[in-house]
Amino acid sequence: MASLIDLRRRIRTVKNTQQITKAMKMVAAAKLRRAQDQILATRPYALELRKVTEHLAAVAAGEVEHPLLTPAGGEGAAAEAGSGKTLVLVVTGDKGLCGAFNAHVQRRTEQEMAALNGGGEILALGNRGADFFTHRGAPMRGARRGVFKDLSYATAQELAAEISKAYADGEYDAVYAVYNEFISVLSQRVSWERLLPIAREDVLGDEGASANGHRDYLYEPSEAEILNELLPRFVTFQIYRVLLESQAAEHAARMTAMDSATKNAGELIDTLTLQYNRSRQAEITTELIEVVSGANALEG
Amino acid sequence: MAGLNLILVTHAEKLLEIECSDVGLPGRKGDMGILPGHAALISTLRPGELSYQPTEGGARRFVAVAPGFCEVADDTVTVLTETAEPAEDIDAAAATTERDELAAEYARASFEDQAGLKDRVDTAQARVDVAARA
Repeated sequence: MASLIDLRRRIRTVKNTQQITKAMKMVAAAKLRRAQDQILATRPYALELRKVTEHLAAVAAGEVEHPLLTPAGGEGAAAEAGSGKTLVLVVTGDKGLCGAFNAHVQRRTEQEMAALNGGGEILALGNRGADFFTHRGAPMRGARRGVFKDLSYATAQELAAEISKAYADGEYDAVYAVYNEFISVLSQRVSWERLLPIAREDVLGDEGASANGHRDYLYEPSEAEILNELLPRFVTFQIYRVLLESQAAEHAARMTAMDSATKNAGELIDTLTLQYNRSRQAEITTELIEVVSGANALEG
Repeated sequence: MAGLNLILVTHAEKLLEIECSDVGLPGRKGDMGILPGHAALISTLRPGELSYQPTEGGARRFVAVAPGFCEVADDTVTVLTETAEPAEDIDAAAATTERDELAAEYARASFEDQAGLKDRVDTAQARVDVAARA
């Protein structure tokens, strides 16, 4: 049985750990708040972007061709001429201690990579994914570290520019993103989403639906030119959204993980304290018995 | 006649929602003045100066905007842009330094790189111009 001093020491270390996890939980909660606000702040822009693109739909849907868009002839019409390669954007956190947050993304990525039969290449965002896939020797296009330290629209712009260029140059047939979607504080969902080519229906809406609300707009410059400017922005915005989602999900995951860690530490402390008190009492009882029996022996 | 409703949205926030009597926009093909009753319009915007006259009176206000879009419909002007800064929020000295740095970078850049820099240089120039209006 552990001695009293040993028990006391263990209780102290667990308490220290508990304090750290409690602090981390609080920090994550504060950061989550900020990340959620950031997501909410993008809503008006998303709404307006959607509106403008839908207005374009009625007029331009049929005839517009753009390298970032699926061809008008439907999916796969131009696929035979492609490079056969797919770029996978893996979004993980920069840090660990957030439950299965990073592991889920990594596992999903490995599954998808296997499904791509060696045709996939990874662009890892965040230290965790970067380290993981570098060590595994997975085919990589590159890695960005520390993206979440100071996440801004400029980060998304830079990424979007690089990805769109690589895609337009024919390096890849498609670009996908694997990331944790923020559902609620308690749940995140790993999401596998295509960034490029942009599905025609996504930007331009349902032709039938938008034709109903169609009105005569003036376009300046032409519809096609507007679309040319709009699509790259659409990609940037998608990437920005993915990064924000992942950031919020990471903080939420860390908060939950640290909360249960704090709770576990509390339980451990309770058990240890009980054990400590029992052995203390046992020691006292033994001592008392010794004293009493000693006294009895003298009297007798 | 009723006024125009101006909504200015960036990816990070809804910057403005205000009633005004007219709006000036930096269209890709030239400046545009929008008055109430304007026909429905969708246009791209170059980096430049957005101005509006609030209905409640006071001086004309100026905002530096990055490239983006605008939609005019039913006396509502919706502007989507990547960044937007009202004249009074811009630090004129810092804006000038930034413009000069970007202009120098632009001058050094190769022809292909210049295309990517153009909007940033123009945005910086717009901030300098708008700062002077404050």
